[in-house]
Amino acid sequence: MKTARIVMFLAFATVQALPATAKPQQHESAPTLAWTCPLHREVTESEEGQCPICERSLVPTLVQQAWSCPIHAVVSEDAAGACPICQRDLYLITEEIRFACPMHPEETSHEEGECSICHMALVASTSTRPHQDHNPKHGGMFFMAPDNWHHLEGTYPEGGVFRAYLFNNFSEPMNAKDFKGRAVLKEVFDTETKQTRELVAYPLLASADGAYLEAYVGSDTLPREITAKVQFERNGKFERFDFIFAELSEDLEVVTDATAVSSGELTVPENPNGIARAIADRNVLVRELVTSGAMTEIYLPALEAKDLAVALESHIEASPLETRQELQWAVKQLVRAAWLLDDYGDLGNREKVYAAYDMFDEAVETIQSVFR
Amino acid sequence: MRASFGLGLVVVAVASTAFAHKPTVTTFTYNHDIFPIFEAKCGSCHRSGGVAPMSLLTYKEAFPWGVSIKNEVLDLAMPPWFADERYGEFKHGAGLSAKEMDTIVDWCLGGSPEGETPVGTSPSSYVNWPLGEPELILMMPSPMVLDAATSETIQELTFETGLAEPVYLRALDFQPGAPNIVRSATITIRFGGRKQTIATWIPGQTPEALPEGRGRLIPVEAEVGLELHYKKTWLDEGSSVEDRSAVAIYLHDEDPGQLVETVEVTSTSAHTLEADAELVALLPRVDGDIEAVVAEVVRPDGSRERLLRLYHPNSEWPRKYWLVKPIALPAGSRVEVTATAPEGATPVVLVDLIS
Ligand code: HEC
Ligand SMILES: [Zn+2]
Repeated sequence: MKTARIVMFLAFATVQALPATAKPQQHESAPTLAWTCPLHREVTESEEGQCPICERSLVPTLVQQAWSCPIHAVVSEDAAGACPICQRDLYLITEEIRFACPMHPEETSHEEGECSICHMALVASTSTRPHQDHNPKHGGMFFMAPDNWHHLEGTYPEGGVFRAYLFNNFSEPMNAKDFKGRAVLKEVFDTETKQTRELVAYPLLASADGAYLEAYVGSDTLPREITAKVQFERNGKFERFDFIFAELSEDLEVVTDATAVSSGELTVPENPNGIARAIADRNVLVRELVTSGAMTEIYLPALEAKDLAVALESHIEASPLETRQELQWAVKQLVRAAWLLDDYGDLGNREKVYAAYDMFDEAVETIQSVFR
Repeated sequence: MRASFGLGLVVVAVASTAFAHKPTVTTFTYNHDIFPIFEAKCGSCHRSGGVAPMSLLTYKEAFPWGVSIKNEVLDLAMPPWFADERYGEFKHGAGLSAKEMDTIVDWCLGGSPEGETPVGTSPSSYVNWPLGEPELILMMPSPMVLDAATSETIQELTFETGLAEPVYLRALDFQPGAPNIVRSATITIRFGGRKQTIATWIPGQTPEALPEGRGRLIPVEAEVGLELHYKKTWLDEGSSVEDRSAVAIYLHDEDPGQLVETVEVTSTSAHTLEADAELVALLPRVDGDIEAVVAEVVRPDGSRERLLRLYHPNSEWPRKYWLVKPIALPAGSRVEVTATAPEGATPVVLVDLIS
């Protein structure tokens, strides 16, 4: 599973377009020159050289710092504060500035100037460096926080020790001393008060160098279920991340291979019954991953199932009249649930994953009841 | 080198790659796959000058919103169409199909590429009065000013009709004066101490006339009420905006013979038909955080049919759901409403019946 996931990451490092929008902004921090890879825009180096991923020669680019919202990329402010749209805290990001011809968008430059075709002045626009790396850095499980900004990797490096590494949206390590948290080993959900009560929890304490948060969690049996609850903003909510460790984590950074190619093609059976069976097969896999807590892998069979369901949609016209509306609904519910599983799996939140899986399973059942 | 980019020299138009998060490459592009969906399902509100805070009708305007679009679409919050596909068939369905939802989410998460050859990105034309010239236009007598400090308000006004004789309504339509702040409008008629909601308007709604030969009686003494929900988006916060909206009234030349009546049904009060009738439309009014509202009919033989189910309806978008095929109901049929709602929230479904 792990290899499949890594392969997918690489196949998807895309070059982003650099458009302009209607809200021009002027920034007080001066733009600076940096070097990036034409293929891997997430690479920013301060000096000329080669891309650490693919060894291509780096090209010059202009970058500047701005404060932006993790959900609303249109927001770009000079100072920290709240998003004018959703009131979330803004985060410091690095924007890339490109100059492009309004008439010939392929004419771009990292400098002001004119278009070599029509001699119009090039117009500046910015883009955020893409963040596409959810690979674990320490052999653990890598989740995104619900704020869409922070990321957290949990590891179980030795019996009885749990560690949480924190990253920003660009997979850059953050100082663990700025965060609070605890490792929860046992909790009960009171259906009456709708409250979760923690029965066994240990504090997560920052290591001396701030590289990670760590908790001693008692006995060293495997597999180990640990829920990290981490606070990202002062007075903010403690967010939960559900981990299951089947074995000890080995602190190896995943080595990426730039020559890796795209993920396997999905073969769609020709008749609707075949598609329905293929969906049911994926459901078995999804259920296994959900119940075993393999959060970051759920998306693979879940998204395949929804691709199959979308393919099924074209067969709905040919199905009995009284089943059509039901099927239409089930296919849409499956599509929605699959994307939610992908989202919630990324967040590592088991409660949300379970809720999305119930929807997913209900949709699969409905499809099964029509096509057997 | 750096000097030439000195302080303030670079005016930057902000746009970004929307924090492309999931490393999935999408095979969909804005120009080829996304624009047609946005134009059909979002463009009535998300166009320049529309009620929504941003246009989605050009690539440059749309793609920075990727994360937010994905969230809204998966939450079923956008587009605002709450009818469960399994029950009833309604005119001008505005929901997303499975394929459309999948295409949008995939594009949002997969790098949001533009694609080649921009399609005609000019928003389709929005006709003034799609049903034709109305017999009567009721214009707000004076503009309503939403001052800089107010972000949201509900305003009610009354038009005296000054009718010399009863008239028969064929259709109603509404036109916002300031489309950027008018969220919705509710049109009521009042007579004999009763106030009845007969129509609602939300942006992008296609107006609908009653079926041929059917009308709604407006007695001489009736007043027409207009309730307007104004709400600014973050773009207009802090500025003052003026609105002068208009209601269009379409009339029959003479008594069409068959009349429409609206009955109110709630979870505690069902409506039993005294005579045979035809059910043409349902207008749910909800408040609060409601999980689901269901309207059903129980025929005298005990058979039950689900007419409409709304899933997580948002009270900001009151919409009348017009049946593609009116349903004939025998006398004695009972229309019922059930709701999955917190205590205190009581959804009302207004049912248009022709007898
Ligand atoms: C009936 C009008 C209408 C339609 C149709 C509509 N929207 Fe919206 N949308 C709005 C309004 C109004 C807002 C602003 C919400 C607010 O300010 O409360 C909005 C907000 C949004 C937001 C921003 C949420 C945020 O603040 O981050 C997104 C994203 C969005 N819509 C996407 C869509 C998409 C995609 C479609 C089509 C599939 C669509 N909308 C269709 C009216 C509409
Ligand atoms: Zn925001």
